[in-house]
Amino acid sequence: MALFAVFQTTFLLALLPLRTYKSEVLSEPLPLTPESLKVSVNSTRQRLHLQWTVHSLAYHQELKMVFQIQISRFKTSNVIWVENYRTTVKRNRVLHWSWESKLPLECAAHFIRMRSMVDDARIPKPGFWSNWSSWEEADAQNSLGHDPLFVFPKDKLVEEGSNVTICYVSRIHQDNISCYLEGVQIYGERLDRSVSAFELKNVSFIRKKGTNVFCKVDQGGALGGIVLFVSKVLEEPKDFSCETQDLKTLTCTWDPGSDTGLSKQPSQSYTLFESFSGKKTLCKHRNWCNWQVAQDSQETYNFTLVAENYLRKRSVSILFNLTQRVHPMTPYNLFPKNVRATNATMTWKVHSIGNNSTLLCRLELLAEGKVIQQHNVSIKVNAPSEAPDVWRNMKMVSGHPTVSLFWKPLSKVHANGKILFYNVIVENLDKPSRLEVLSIPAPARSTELTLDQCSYQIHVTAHNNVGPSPASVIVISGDPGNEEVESGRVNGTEDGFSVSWKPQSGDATGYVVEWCDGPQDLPCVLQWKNLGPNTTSTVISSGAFRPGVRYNFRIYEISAKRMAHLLEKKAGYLEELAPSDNPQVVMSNLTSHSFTLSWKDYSTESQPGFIQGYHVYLKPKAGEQCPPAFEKTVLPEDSVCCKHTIDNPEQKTFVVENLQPESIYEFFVTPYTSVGEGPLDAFTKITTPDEYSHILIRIILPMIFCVLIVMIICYLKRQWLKEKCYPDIPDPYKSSVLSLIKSKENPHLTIMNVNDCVPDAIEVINKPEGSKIQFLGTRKSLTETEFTKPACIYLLPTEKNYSGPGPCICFENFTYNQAASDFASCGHFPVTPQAPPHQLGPLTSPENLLKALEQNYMNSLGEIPAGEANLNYVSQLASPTSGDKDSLPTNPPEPALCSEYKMQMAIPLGLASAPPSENSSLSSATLLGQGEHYR
Amino acid sequence: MLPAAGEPAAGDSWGMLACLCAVLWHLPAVPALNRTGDPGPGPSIQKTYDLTRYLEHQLRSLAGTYLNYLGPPFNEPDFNPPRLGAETLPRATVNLEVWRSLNDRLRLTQNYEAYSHLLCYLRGLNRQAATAELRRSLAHFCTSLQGLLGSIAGVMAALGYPLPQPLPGTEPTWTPGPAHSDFLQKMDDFWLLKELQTWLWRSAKDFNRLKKKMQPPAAAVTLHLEAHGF
Repeated sequence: MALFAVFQTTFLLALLPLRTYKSEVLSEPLPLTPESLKVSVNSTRQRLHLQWTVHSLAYHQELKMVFQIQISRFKTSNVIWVENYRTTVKRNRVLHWSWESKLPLECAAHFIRMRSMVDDARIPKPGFWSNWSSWEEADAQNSLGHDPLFVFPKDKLVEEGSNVTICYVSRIHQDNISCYLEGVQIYGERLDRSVSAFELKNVSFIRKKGTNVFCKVDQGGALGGIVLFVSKVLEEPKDFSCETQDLKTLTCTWDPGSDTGLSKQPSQSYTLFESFSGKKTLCKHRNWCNWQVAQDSQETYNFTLVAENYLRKRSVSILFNLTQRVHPMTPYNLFPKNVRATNATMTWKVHSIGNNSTLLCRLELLAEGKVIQQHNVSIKVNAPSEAPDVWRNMKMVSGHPTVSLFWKPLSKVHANGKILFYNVIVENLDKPSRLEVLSIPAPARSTELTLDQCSYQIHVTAHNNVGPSPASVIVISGDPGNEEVESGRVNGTEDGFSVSWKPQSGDATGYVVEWCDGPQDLPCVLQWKNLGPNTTSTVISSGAFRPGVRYNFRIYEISAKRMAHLLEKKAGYLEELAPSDNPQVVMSNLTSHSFTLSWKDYSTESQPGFIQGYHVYLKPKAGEQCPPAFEKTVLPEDSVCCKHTIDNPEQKTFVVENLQPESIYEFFVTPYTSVGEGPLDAFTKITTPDEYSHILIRIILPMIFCVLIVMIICYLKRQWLKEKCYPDIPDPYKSSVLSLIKSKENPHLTIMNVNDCVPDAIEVINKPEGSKIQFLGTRKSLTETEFTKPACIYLLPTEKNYSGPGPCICFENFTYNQAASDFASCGHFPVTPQAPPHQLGPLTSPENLLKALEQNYMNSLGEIPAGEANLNYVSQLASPTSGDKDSLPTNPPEPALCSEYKMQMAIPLGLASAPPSENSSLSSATLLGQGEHYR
Repeated sequence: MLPAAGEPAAGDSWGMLACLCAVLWHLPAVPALNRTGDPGPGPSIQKTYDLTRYLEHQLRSLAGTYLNYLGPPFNEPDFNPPRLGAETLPRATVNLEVWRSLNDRLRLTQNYEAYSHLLCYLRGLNRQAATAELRRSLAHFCTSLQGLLGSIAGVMAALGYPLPQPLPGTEPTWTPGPAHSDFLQKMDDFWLLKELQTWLWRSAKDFNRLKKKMQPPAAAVTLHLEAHGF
């Protein structure tokens, strides 16, 4: 009994955990009913979405369950779909399920309910269904308007070959509604009082704008329709392959098949995906795509081409080795060269395919259309094999360190084809910054970089069409460093300059010797020579080296950090020459015993040899000894002179002492090198001054001063001096006597003007009578006859250039007719001998005047006794009177100023005193001719 | 042209001469005879009329192509759907009495406004067209329609009528809302072409009527002369 009791207790204890478990999971009554069931409609996709939860589960408990879902259409009793949905349920987790309806959801109301059952293996006892949830209605019809007829689904996108169910909802009687597919009537199934459905099987693509389905009420005019977009089925890309021509770009091509584009759906897109690199690219074209080959030498590629549209995704993959997909480009520039009778050389060019690739070229020889020979030629195409030899020159340009980079072109052996460009990459070592990359097209051999005070690492690579060369690296320190280094000389030989140096630090990775090929030319053509770390000497040779040119060599040590430090400077001549020119010597401080010579502008650097010193030549006065510092020497021209040698090239002044005063010296300075001295130029003369000349100056200066004082005094007292030395001459016009006379006697009293005194001439003419008769009888013009005496005595100017009206004195004979005498008084025209005759001819009215004169003259002839000698008096004093100025309108010359003497004396004038005959208005040419006689 | 004055009296000969002078003086003022002055809106109305007829012809070909592009039933000759949607399109159909009672200004204004809207819709149609050929045809037609619009504006200006100013923000657009299905869109396209055709037909009538109205009868010139001469 006790045993039984123990067994029972044990059994009960064993059952207890199970009971406990059962009570946890399936406590009675079972509460695992779906709750919070919600149904939503996606009309476009024609799907019903369900979501619910199971609240009754214990916390953290997971259980496999099965949910049975029922869907009814139109009414709950019309179940059209039952499905068991199995899933793992967790407390409070929202569960989802969706269902696609063939019938557009707008055409019918749908009702959904579900129940659940535990379907977990941990529960041995078969489960049982929970109670059904309540029906949930999904009705898309509520959103419809009030139109009489609706057709669904709207704007559906399907693939070709699909089955599509179309329905309409009418709010009117259905019997007279007919539906059409592309104008062809279709017949369907009536689902409800107001709903009919049409199943279109295996729909086909008609047009991009879609397939039209419409229904209309036969008499009512109501119309509804849809556009069904039938897309062609997206095909898998065919013939997908990739190849490259240059190992840089892969070109993948494929056959895309039919275009699935519609006005509702764009054409399918293509994406290229590479699985090893994980990169992808969206292709811009329908049937090909480019893929940039990475530089990281990826060899194997696994490409997947994905074609995609709204409805479908298709993909195709290929795996290949890049080198197996190379399709070389066609060789070009194929030319025969050196064609001979039996052989010819063929040349051609190939497009390179990456680095270190070998191309096999097949050459075929054709004759009469048939290949008669074939040759296979292997061509290796590489990137440049060696880094360019790079050197730099640093200078400061407006406060910024500027680096000129130079590089030498690669040899043909190393270039492996034409160098296209050089890449210069500048990397700042002091602070992180973006790399600056410069691409300099060949054949440039230098470039200039403006940097700041930081340190920079510069990589230079040469590129041919295959790729870049190894990089040449130099480091430039922002700090120019101590440039003061030991300077030395180097001797030039026929082979060049033998330069040697002392290594400074042990970690030098190399040395660079730099120089300029033409140091006198600007800019300097920088040359350099790279040398290994164990080298301490080298011979620098260049075809550009010339004798007599100073070459400066700078030796740099390249540190392990690729930085260059100046080690030594050397200067040398391939061959030293004598100086080509002499310094410009300036003489100063000349005294009677010494003078100073200086030639400070003379540059010893730019001479054709190392200047060792200077020779000062001095030619003293004949017979004089050389000054103490000089020694006697014989010049090449055999003249003897004194010579002093300065053996310091930097001493550029010299004082010549111990000279004689008042002596002529000649000097000349010339530099000398190890080869010789400069050209023998002309000596410069100099005279030493007198020893006492300074005393003379002390006397002369005061004398000059005294003279100046006297001159100033004279100037100040000039009035007094004038009165004393040259007083003014009294002027008769201003005389007080004049006023006294005027007031008492003749008011017309004039004073003879001294200035009018013209030296007169007096001429006594013995005129024969016969000539007068002849004159009268023949009446020839005065020019043709002998000169007849004028009635007036002319006061003729003695000066030839006298141009003004000549004064005259008329001795009037009162036996003359007054009228005629008026004419005669000033009828003549005193003219200068030079005056042209025609100027006077037309000035008077010759006819009238002639007649009057002739008449008077004839009268006078009868009265005056003939045969008397005539005297013409030419007065020395002719006073200017204005009385006759207007007697004749002669202009020019103006009427002569005349003095009339009336009744001075009774002089029997006869012919001589007659007025100037009938030709008183004769041309002045006549008078001029006569005038010459007067003189 | 001059009215018969019967047998003139002797004293009337001066009066007749004066009349003749007066007639000659006023002759340049007769619009119908004034060949050197402004020709008036007559020629531009004629040109606009001609343009509408040309566009009618052009649209027949374009509509055929476009409706084929839409597919059946839109390209069926007897397809006459109710005017679903397309409410914003200007209606060309009008009651005959109303049409007759329209004055010139209103007639021209309605034409101008209708074509402004139709042109805008047509350009929207062009943007949506899928084929290049169709786009080219539509663009060509749009250019012609723009010309018609300019021509109508010219007639209105010649007659001294101001152009209707579009209200700001009421620029018609051809962007269907999301609820606008593709079928309704096709219906709109159909109605656009149909209304355009009707409008061109109506415009031809409008301008024909206007043209006749603007031609003054010859009798009016006679009356005019009488009034001035005597």
